[in-house]
Amino acid sequence: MKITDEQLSAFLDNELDDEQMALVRDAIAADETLCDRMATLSMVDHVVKRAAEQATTGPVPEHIVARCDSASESNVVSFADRKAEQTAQQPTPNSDTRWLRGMAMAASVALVGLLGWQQLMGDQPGDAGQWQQIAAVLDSQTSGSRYSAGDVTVMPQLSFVHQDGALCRQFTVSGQSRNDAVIACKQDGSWQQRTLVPMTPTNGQAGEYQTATSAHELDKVLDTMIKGAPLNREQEQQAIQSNWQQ
Amino acid sequence: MTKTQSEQLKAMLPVLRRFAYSLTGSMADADDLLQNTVEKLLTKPVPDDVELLAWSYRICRNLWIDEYRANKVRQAAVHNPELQQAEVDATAQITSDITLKQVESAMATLPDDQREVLSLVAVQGLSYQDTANVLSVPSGTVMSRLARARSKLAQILFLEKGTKGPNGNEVTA
Repeated sequence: MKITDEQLSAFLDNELDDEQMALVRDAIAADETLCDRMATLSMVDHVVKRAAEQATTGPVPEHIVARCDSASESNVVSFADRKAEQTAQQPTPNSDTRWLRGMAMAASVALVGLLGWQQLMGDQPGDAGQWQQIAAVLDSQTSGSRYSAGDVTVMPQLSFVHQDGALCRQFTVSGQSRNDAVIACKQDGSWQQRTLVPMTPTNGQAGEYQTATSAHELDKVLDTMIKGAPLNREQEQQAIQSNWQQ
Repeated sequence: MTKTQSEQLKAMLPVLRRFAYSLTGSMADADDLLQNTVEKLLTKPVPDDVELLAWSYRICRNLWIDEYRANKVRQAAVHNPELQQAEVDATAQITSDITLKQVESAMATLPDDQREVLSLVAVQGLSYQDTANVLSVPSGTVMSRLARARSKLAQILFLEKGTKGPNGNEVTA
């Protein structure tokens, strides 16, 4: 009985039924050329597999791995951890600690203000003059402290490189007329808003703000933007010196 | 995609990359295909009744069919050294008689349906049934395509070259 390549191939993979496996096994025992042929077919697999392994021995490109990382919710947690760690490392007046934490927790996404690429100037609640003062704080101050900007207080919380290459900052703006968590990026020499989350006062400690949804939801938005880790203090200072231009 | 799935995907990247290479035949195209596959996977929900790896193969394979094969990117890359990654040494010996370049050239002669079956079974180690599920064809079709692929490559790699077979003798059909 003639044994075909198809039978030998499937025999090689142990994909024949018991009867066919026995049939081919007996044929191989009786005919040495069948054994040679099966070895040749098997060698094809070996060569093809080894070639694929050889060609792909280098590491998977970092940007592809990073894409998986950015999509992982575990990164949201680690991102939050990094943010907390960064805040902890930066000098903060003791009296502001609770307030800062409240503001950080308030950074959630109830509206996530997916307001697109609006120029902060003009589109922001508040006037252009107010924004110029906010922008001046973003331009010149590292994260972790509050700064007066006219009739509002600005606290830069975090700085990072956007996946599109722009340098961005998350910060809060609080005052009589507004309490917002904002993400803005420096593009074409000016700060442009990417995301805004209105915050409302809670009934808890004075000065604390929060929104109805969890802070993790804002972190999810951040994780869709951020490339790599947030800037550390030294990197922020370098960014200030370069006027936040990449 | 859930947290667990994206973590699994990250762990699967080397395997998926190998599959992408087997399909495209060049690392330049393979990494491009891998990136597109990952993007697609991250934005497209994984069906409840499909395992992530099988789903990943399917997405990768469909992208290859739709974009690379149709646009002849693979063929263009094979013949354009500038698209090849510098670190891939095409002269690397796969066996004492066969180089990586020769394997790539031999694979490129296979019809796509045979190439994808050989990649899934021989390189990825899938069963016929799992391969059939990925490709949405009967397992009998997998068996026949695979046998033809192996026969064709055996002829190109060992017979036409006069390469010594695994027993050290000239192989015969």
